[in-house]
Amino acid sequence: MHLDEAWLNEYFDGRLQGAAVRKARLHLQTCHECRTRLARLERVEAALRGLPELTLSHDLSPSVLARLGSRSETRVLNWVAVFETLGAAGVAAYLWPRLADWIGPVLTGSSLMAVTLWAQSAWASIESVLSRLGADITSLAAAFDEWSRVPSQLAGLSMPLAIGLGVAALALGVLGNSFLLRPSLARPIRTYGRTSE
Amino acid sequence: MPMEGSPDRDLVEQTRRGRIDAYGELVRRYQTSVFNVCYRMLGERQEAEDLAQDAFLRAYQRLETFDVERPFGPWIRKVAANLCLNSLQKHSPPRLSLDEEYDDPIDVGQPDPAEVHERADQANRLRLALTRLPAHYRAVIELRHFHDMSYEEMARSLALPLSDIKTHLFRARRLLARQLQSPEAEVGHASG
Repeated sequence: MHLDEAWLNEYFDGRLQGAAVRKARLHLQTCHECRTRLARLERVEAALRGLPELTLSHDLSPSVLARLGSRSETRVLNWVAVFETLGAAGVAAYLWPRLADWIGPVLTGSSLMAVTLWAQSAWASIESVLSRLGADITSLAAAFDEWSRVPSQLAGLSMPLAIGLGVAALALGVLGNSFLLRPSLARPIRTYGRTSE
Repeated sequence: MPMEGSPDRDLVEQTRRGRIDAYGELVRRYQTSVFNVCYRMLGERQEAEDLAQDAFLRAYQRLETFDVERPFGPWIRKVAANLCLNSLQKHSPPRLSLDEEYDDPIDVGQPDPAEVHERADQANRLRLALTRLPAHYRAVIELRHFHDMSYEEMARSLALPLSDIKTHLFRARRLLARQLQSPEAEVGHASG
């Protein structure tokens, strides 16, 4: 009866204790085959311990630090995205009464009304806060109102075309942002050096 | 202040205070050992370099959780080993070829070229055998033999039952022993 493999490995790793380790030692004194198996484990251990370390042919630290830097830029760009979103939401809220006329057919009457009322009240609140802060936004709002009026050429635009144009504009925006944010996608920086032993 | 002689603990604390150059010094100190962990586990140079970089980035993100009373080296090597294990589990078949492995230059500066060649040959065979082991076998060999982890620590680290650790370890060693005895021995078939 030989030592089973798990037991022999545990003996080799010094995990057996007390009677178990004495029993294993006694068996190894008399069993040539188990001694050979133990010697094989020792050879594997020695080979692994003696495995020479490869040396890097170049320093990784500049690449790591550059990638850490680009992650900081990502955080800045994330803030830019937050402000962009807030700005877009503000513009959408301001333009909503006008947009509602366009997209009215695809919304039910009650939801359209609810959103319109919400947008109007939200904008009125913003206006009153800004006015209390002393900002003269009346003329600015009038100018923006004039600018944002639906051009007469687009007044007769069909709903599917209007939605299509909106989707195209969004897609362009997303593509543009992906391009701008591309450097922030931290990937390993490869220097293509050789390593030697 | 020059950082070359600073203890790891000081460099970690400076990094936590925002001194990125202190982290650069830690990278320079441990990049070779981290790269070697990755190379032993992945068997491919470029991927090992990529994962070594990733390990330093991951460690940087988790630096707040590092206990400065403990040595930095084993910690960063363990981070690297875990990253490599995740990578191995995603891409199961190893990509190493025998030809690529034998590309390694032999150090001809040694006094006995035949002995050096034999040692280099054995190292290459061992590396090749390691990369042919199933992912969990490779992980237990790495953690046991290069990180000196106990069976219990390996079980925790790999989220495996202790019985699996014992089985993986003896099977991995048996496969390595076979490969060291006979380079032609088939290693890849016994994955269970």
